[in-house]
Amino acid sequence: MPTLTATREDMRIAWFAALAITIHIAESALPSPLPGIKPGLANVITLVVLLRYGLAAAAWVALLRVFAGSLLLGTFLSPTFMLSLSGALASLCALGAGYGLGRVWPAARLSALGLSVLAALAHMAGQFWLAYAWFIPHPGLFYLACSIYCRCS
Amino acid sequence: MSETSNPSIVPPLAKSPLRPPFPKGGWGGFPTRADIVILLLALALVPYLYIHYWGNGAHGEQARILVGGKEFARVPLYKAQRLEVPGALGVSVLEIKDGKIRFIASPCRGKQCVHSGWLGLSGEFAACLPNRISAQVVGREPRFDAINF
Repeated sequence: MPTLTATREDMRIAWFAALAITIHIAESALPSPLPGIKPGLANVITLVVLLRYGLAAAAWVALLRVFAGSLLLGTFLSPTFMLSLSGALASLCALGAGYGLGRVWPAARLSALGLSVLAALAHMAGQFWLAYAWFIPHPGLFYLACSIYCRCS
Repeated sequence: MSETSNPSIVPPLAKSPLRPPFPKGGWGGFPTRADIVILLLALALVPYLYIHYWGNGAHGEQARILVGGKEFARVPLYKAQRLEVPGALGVSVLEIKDGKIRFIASPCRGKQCVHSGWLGLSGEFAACLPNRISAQVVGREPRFDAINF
């Protein structure tokens, strides 16, 4: 019988992903003024993993959170999940760019603060792009974008 | 998978559960120069978006096309299309693209309407008087007023 052996890195990713999923689910139980708007505290875990273990581990944790979190909440492959995934992918791209730039050019190194702002902006941009491209192809959507950007900044 | 026999699968956090998960080497020069640049850019994005979307001279959402003083059509500007409007002299062609509208062709002599170019801002207006056709960009529909005010 073939056996699966988990390496130390696998276990670490699983631990952090479990932590992120817990926060993700706890957060979805919080009441929100508007459906779909949430603080996004689970992204803190992604950021910590990125700074400690690098981009690949952070991507694993973020994507595992999106997939497993949506399976547990029952939103897998629903619009909520799509928005969550597009936000996670966009913020991962931004994190990779910001983190990679800091590696190549140390003068432009970002700390957790700058990385989180960058990732948050990219997260919303990704979600708005998907919402515009897929769900509501009306420019009125972007009138909403600026008020949401305002609140998050 | 065996849980206890293989020591390599014990997660590192279990060995030192109290170690804070901070980045390796500490936070290091906490707000770096690049952090401040990013923060300023993020803060500048908000007024930019507000002026772009909510400021004066807002982009119109619809075009009102009048023929001989009567409303011929009200068309949304976000959908690219070409309209053929029959007027007093013949058919005028209007084009809608990227939230703007323009006259492409008109059977009149001066082609003032065609030379007016693209109209995109709320209130902008072009007319072909010989053909008795006019196009005006109008703002949001009344149903949005409850949100805006």
